[in-house]
Amino acid sequence: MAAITDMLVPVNATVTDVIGETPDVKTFKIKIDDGNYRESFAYRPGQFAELSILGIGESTISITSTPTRPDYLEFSIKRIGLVTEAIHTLVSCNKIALRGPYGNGFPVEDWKGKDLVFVAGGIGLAPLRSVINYMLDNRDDYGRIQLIYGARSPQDLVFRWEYDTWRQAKDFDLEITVDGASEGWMGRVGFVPALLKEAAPSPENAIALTCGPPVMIKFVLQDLVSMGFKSDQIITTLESKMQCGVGQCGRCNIGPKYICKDGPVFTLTELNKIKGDF
Amino acid sequence: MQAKILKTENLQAWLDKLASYGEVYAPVKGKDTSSFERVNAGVMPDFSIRTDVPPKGLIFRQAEKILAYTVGEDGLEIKRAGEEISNRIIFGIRPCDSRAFDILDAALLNPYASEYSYSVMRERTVLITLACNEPGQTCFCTTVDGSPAGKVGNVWIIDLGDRYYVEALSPSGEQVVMLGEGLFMDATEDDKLLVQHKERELFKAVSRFPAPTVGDLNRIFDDEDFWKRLADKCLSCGMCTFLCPTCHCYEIKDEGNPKSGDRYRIWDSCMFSNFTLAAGGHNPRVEHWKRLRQRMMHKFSYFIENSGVIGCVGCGRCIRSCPVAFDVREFLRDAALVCTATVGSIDGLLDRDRTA
Repeated sequence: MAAITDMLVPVNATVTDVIGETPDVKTFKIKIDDGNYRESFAYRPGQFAELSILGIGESTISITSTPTRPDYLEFSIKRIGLVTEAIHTLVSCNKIALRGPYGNGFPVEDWKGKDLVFVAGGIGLAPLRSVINYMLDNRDDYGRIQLIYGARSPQDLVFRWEYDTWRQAKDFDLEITVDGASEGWMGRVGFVPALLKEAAPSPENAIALTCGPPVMIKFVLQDLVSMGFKSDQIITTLESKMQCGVGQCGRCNIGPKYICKDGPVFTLTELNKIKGDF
Repeated sequence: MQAKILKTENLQAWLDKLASYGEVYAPVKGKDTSSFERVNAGVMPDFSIRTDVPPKGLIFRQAEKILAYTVGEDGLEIKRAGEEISNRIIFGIRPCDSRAFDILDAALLNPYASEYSYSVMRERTVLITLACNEPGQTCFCTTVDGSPAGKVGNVWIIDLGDRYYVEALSPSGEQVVMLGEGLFMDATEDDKLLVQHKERELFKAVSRFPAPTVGDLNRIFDDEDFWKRLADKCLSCGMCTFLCPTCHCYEIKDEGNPKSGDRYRIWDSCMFSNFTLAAGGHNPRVEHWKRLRQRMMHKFSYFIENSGVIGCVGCGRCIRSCPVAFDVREFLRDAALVCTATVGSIDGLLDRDRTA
């Protein structure tokens, strides 16, 4: 019998489109080459994959597309380390290696009939966008959708090409802020938690999802609680150094949990129980 | 299968016959270190030693090739690594090291994902466990739910002076005992009584001390002073993890160039500062005391919570190998003491439910 570390072997995929989002973020449309693997790649909003540039390494990237649009996968990737820098050099028709999906997605099925509040900062919108578009594709199942989003500067806002679609969707509020304005910016200036307080979403029959830089998440969690959201109504998705994606390599171990396999999606109730180094 | 008796002078004959099953590994004293090595002509096993290096790497290899890749005109080609794995026997493995594989199973063969090469190696390996007649100075298996006479692995043998008592514990164990057919006699009732007596005596010979429970450790998790004091002299060298029979954290690493190369799964250590370093610079465990806390918590708290067993077998190798003499037994004693300063007797401490 051959020794094959099956689980850790990625498959070939092809980049079909690249969208420049910001000076350091690009969105890659990717199609898995093998039909069978493509079929078996059934994911939920909030899950992630391991993307490889062989010879450089692997990187953990959340899936920003929605399973309701099955023709392609989308990954919005910030150029921040060796692997993401290599990925950023890819253009259409280039090959990339991929394995997954990993982690637990958001329990979107359980949220039918509820209002949704999304609070995102910077590239943290990427995993939430999967949920947003999933809900727009199942619009009648969900109530009002409110998206509160901010970035460092206007140039750092991701998915700008999609805002019009979102604004035109039924019962969809999009509020945007930037930490610092640049010339020509007519919108709001200020931090995300300040905008959240101003928007004052009601906790009544609502779920709040947040993702962004750790410091933003910290304040947003506190603010949501003070607005009356219960810990079970608040849900976030955590980032961590990961490699295997399946709870073995040990990097993302925090308390008795592994962010990769027990998360990355956690309710505030679950987070409050974990003692560990975040 | 009925327990057997093997005369000491027939041990070599059995070992020779085992070669027909597969590769046989046994403890061998090297020039600088002792370890489990393939036994063949010229390599003499020495069953009196507790090896410096555990046999973990015979099943969970330090570097396991995952794949080979080539990037050419027609794009990317990913070739899964594969090699024939022959049957193997680890002969004379001690109960602690044998039990370590049960712990690795819990980590690497979890239902969520199975580490494939480990699962193949594990399936193909027969463990012949030799009870420890003389505990070492750093042994503490009895404190972590083990015993020097623990019946673990596929075959269990104990040295009775002029003869070995041999008990198969699984079908593959029976198979390798059968290979020595003709060399064995059935054990008598007297043999069995003697062995039971020895099991009790050996258990008592390893000193047992109170250890903290999961609840205790959760309570002292935030006691920064405790952990800083503990980690004061730690160098974060990682020696303890590389010689630990249960440590299993790994790294996925590419070796090659943009045109061709290989990807490996290799051992890593939570004691290294870059273990949790993310691209962009975030690192939740920059301070070395947090890394030592992580290692202790993982073994003595998280592992119990997740798998129901302690992630340590009490082999004492980390104590013997530590360049600055960090002693995990002192940690366990101190942690238990800090947490239970006001509670009951030592006996009470020893019998506490560890998951409490």
